[in-house]
Amino acid sequence: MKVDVSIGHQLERVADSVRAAEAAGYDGVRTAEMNHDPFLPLLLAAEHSERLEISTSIAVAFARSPMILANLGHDLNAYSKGRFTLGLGSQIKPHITKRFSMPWGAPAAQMRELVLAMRAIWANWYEGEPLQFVGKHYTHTLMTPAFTPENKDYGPPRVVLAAVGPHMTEVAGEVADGMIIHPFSTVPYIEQVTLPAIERGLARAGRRREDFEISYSNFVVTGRDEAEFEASKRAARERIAFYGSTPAYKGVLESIGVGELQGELNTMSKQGRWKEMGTLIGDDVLAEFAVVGEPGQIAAEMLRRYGAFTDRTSASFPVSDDGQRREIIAALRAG
Amino acid sequence: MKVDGGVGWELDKVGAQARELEDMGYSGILTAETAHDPFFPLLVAAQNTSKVDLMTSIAVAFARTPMVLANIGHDLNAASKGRFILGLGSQIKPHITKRFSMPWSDPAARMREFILAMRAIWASWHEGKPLEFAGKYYTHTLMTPFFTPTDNEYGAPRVFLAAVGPLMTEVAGEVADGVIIHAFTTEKYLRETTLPALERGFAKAGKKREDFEISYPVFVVTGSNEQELAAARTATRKQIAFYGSTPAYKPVLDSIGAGELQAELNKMSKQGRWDAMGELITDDILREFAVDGEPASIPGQIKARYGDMIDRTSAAYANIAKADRVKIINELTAA
Repeated sequence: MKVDVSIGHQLERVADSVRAAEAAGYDGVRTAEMNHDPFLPLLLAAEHSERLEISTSIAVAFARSPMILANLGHDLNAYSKGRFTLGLGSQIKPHITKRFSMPWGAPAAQMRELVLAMRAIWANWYEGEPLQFVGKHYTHTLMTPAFTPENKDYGPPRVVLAAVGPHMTEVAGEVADGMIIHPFSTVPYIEQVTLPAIERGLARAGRRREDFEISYSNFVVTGRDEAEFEASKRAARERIAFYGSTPAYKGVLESIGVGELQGELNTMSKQGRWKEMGTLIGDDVLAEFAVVGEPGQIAAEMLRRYGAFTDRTSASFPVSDDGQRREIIAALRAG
Repeated sequence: MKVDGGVGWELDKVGAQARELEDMGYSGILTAETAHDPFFPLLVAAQNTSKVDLMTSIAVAFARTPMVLANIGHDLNAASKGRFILGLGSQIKPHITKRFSMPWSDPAARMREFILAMRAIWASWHEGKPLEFAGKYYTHTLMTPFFTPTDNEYGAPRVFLAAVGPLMTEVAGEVADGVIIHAFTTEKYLRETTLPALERGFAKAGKKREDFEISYPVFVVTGSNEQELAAARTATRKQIAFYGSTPAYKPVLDSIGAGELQAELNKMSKQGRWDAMGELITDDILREFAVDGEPASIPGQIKARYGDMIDRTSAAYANIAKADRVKIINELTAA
């Protein structure tokens, strides 16, 4: 299993974080899109590393035109000499329409078209195919030599999609090079919903599972001492409660027979009772989302539970001891 | 007068180019948006310089949403400690709709709203104002602390707007911090059309001329000997003829009583007669667009013709010795 780590957005710190990640043995570094541009840090990550894979996990796809994403993807992949993966997610309707002022349609269908539009642009740039992409959501029919990148050694980046529901997951299987399973997932949900949807998508495109990379970053509760362990447990419970309050994620709670929790958490979230929500996540529910144990047990347990379907992870290991963290990374990579 | 110089798109070479430009005395570093992302090179330039302004000249505004540009603008301004200038241009309708698959209408009115939308987003981030921007073209009404940058020391970047016609120029005067005037402009057009349009914009916003920068990349014909000068003249004639074939730029030719040339150049451009087009640009017309002479005469000529109007110019002077270029830059920046 490959192991990635998230890097922050403070551009003056990226070089140090990236060098530390490479030294610690990670396979890749990832940025998320929250309150900063997710691509600028990866330019510095590419500059200050030699073998690390770099990826967005995720960038908000519908906030941008496929052409802009195609261009960013090209530039980062060329500069990193083929180490870039464009990880995309849909976000939710209010953020697309009211934060980004962009259109929101049927998200799975729109995402499918967005990825195909980028692939059409890249086919035009790298293979000289005419650009004649006329879709329902996107139109790209104009390209001239002045706007065609010259440096074609590394071609397009890989594209992976973040997905929760079966439709978006199937689209990932069909048109993406991999998918990012949401941390708020259980093994029963992944086995009953996610993996069959990926198989349907792969079948539609005539592709094989080994051409597709699945990333899953489970919660980890551990620590070098009791205080660290308890802090990590509390943080995981609060995060799980936060995700569990989202109506769209009710199916995940249902997969472990606690669907009724969603309504309760949602009500509490509207009252701002975030800390208290965490206490509703009992040890049994926690154990469905998180690997809980001593630092030395984490890697073996992750491999046992998720190894059959997970190709890479960016689980974070809340131990303050660098040596213990390196051991977890090495054991996961060996497994 | 400030003097700006351009860097290319090759990200592994931009650092050295930027250091050289800063050492030569340039005031700013420019990127254009053609076949590559225009922001990545400026992040590299920011890491390699400490004094120069860093400016897109230009990035295609309508290819993006105000939120994405607000974010990039914030990040690059923070990373460069306040040296970033977001230079925007509209591009033309076919490129926006058929290359970028984004909406186009009423370019001046839309651009005005685009810039005001970014300013509303920045006011929300940097001054804590509620984000309630509901315009005709853009809607930004959702912002939460999670998506708000926290490194607010340097605030918003300056915003410059590229403009040719009086409507866009007036918008620049009203809502931008500077205007980027097209190289294809005559002194008469500047004095009779551009400056009055800017003044109307200033008046609307209650702004003063001294709070605003006018950037104009003067055509410069120079060379170390007659042969080089002649070659530079031929090249500049062709460039002027190329721009002159564009219907939207006819008023510029009208300003020097040569409006009838536009249709002729347009017809020839459709026949691909680029060399012959250059020959239509007589010495008189060339003089209206370009300063022309030995390197030592260039700063004086630029100052005499434009010194009372413009705050910054951009200059490459690639065909003359570096020492001569440095002299020109120093002489221009001294006054």
